[in-house]
Amino acid sequence: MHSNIYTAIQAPALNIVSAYEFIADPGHGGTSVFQGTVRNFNFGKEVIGVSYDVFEPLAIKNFTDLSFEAIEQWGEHLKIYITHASGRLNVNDISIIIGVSAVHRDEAFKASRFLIEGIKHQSPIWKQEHYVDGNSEWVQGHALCQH
Amino acid sequence: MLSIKIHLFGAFRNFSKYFENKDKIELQFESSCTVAELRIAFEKVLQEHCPDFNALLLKQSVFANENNILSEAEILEKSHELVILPPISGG
Repeated sequence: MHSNIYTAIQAPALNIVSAYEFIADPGHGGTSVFQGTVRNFNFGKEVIGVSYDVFEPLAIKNFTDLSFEAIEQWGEHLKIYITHASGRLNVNDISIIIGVSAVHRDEAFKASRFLIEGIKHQSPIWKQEHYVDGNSEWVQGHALCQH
Repeated sequence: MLSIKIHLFGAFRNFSKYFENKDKIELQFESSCTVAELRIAFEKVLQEHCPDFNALLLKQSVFANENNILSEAEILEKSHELVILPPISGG
């Protein structure tokens, strides 16, 4: 593992302070920390919580591969922190944290966006929504591709 | 005899209730098989046991191991534990 990269799957609650601590660097002038949180509605349904199911070995490999791609594209100096929640979360709980620090803001913003979009389209993670009426449904998502 | 255990994730977990709440399904083959042949056998088992199984879900899903998504042409020659990955929705 590259010393500038931290990736993990964790039970709630995720701690955003850990991201700032990992990516802190006196030589970095730009820091971007993205957090995803559980929303209280989706497609007209009132959501009271979600459960995340994760195939952890492949998810961590994907986080790491994406991080190396970001470093290759935006610079060896990048520091990257990625954690995703596993298990039951309530509304407002943090589902994912992506922290990137870089010498300048442009790399931090671009790498952060690249990482969240990559995870949305490639990481083996599934969300089951729990509704106020007592029902639960797996959210329709993006099909993975064979290579 | 070749034994392939398929771990269920995401929407496939809904079917574990038809398999004594186990989160994996074991399929057996007389000899090696391709992932495409595994898919056909897996679909047959789901159709036989799961009244709410929708074939589109499997069509949109891929098989994988801990390191890679498998191609349909890949040949499975040893007993394996694999996973079935439906469309993803993380983040």
